[in-house]
Amino acid sequence: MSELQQAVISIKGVDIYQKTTLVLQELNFDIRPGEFVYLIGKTGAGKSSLLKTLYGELPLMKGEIIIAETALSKLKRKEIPLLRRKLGIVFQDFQLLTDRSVHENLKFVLRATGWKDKAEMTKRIEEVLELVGLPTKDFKMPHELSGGEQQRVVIARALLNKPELILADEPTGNLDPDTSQEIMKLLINISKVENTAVLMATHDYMIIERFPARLLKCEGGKVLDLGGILF
Amino acid sequence: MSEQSQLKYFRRKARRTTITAVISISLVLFLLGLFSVLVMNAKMLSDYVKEHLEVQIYLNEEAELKDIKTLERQLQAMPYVKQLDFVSKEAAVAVLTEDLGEDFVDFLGYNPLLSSFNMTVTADFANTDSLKTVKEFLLANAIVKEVYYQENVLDLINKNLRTIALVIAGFSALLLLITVTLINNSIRLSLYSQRFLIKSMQLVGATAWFIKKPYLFKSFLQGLVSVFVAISLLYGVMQVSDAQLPELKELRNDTFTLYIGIGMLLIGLVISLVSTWFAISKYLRNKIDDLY
Ligand SMILES: Nc1ncnc2c1ncn2[C@@H]1O[C@H](COP(=O)(O)OP(=O)(O)OP(=O)(O)O)[C@@H](O)[C@H]1O
Ligand SMILES: [Mg+2]
Repeated sequence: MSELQQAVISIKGVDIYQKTTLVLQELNFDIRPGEFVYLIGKTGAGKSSLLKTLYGELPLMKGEIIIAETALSKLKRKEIPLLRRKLGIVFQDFQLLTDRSVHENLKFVLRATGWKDKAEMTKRIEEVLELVGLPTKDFKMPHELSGGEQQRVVIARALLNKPELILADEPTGNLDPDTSQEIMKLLINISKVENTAVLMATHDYMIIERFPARLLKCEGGKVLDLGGILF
Repeated sequence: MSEQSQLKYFRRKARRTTITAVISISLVLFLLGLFSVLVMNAKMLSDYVKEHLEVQIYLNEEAELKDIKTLERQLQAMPYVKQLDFVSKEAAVAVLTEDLGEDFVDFLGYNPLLSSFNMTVTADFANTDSLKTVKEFLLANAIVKEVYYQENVLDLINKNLRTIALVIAGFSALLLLITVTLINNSIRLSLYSQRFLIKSMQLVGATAWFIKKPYLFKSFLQGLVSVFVAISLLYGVMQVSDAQLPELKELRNDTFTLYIGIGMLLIGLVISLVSTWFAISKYLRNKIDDLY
């Protein structure tokens, strides 16, 4: 019981669908606060589909997911925005808005999620940029930043509303190995410092070797919990 | 197409559709306004005709003065009777003789005319059904010989008004359909051109209301512009008609004209806001990526 309440994500008897196609079935696993977890598996194995179900983009058809104290089986459309404010989402295809500065990108998210006070917004923006190591880049345009710096801003954006959990889908997908490692160090550090759980889908085995953590593997329509062992 | 030029393309297309939507809302409003003005004029005209519509109640030859007085008192007590004049057969002869210019009583050797009441009724009562019941009531009285009024004048006014109403309603319905379709398209295009922005808002947890707000604000402005265009058009038409048919001006009721203007404003805003609301809700419910 206490363990169930403690988990940031608790998944019981869940099937994952893309429209009518069953992608993954009978999933059962928990993720604890502050835990760092990799989600691995071949292309098309269902990693992104699982993440999408977790943040309410795909409907939960069977089983129960409790994520950030929210039961997805009972989730109403109207409540999806509130769920997403408790999550940090870092995706490769969820990039910065190219027509505005870093500061404006972050402010936009704050305004969209109900922040009103200007001074508080500025303060929070400074805090998250500090956290990702970019305290002086707030008035740069996205194209004036390197790929690694852009991804840091994306992580900063995910941190704005102090999420209990970061969902990351191939956050290092576009980056060179050195930059990938920097981003990984950042994510792991945030996970430790802020006690934020991270569920990260990746193909990058080099990274997993360099930064070992718990592994969930999508394979043959199932998710296997490999613990910390890398096969 | 590069992403930037594709974006521009959709924005341009969205803008063009918005302009067409404004034109079509303006037309709907103009037609409705024009119809209302027509109805107003027709109403004033028909009220005028109705209140001057005379019901003639011819009395029997042998009707006694006592009974005539009783009927007169009865009729005067009726709330719908506006005016009641007794015309004795002698008075009737005098009028007719003057009209004909010859003394027909002399010629005939007797007075063929009957005494009568000339009655006018209130406008709301001057319709075929009500008058029919009055007629029946009067004919039940032994001293009443005949009740006469010009039935077809009323029917003509009512029938014409109905025909105009049908034509305008048909036109407006068609235009309304076109408007809703156009607004729907312009929303789809502009949502599509902004799909990355909207996707971002959705992913960070913006409420549907936050995403809809700027679109609804735009559609409010769009409604205002349409109302302005429609009222200007209608004003122009009324100026021209006043110049051509000054009598029409007499039939205008300023309070009613003001109501027509307010009605157009409300309908314009409602059309614009409601169809925008439905269009955007529909597209946000589905995935933005599935728009095309
Ligand atoms: N929008 C969609 N509609 C229908 N089927 C989809 C859709 N997106 C993905 N799928 C299917 O669902 C299955 C799982 O896809 P998913 O994107 O979850 O895999 P993945 O593990 O993230 O792959 P990758 O490593 O390439 O990102 C695949 O068979 C894919 O074809
Ligand atoms: Mg994927």
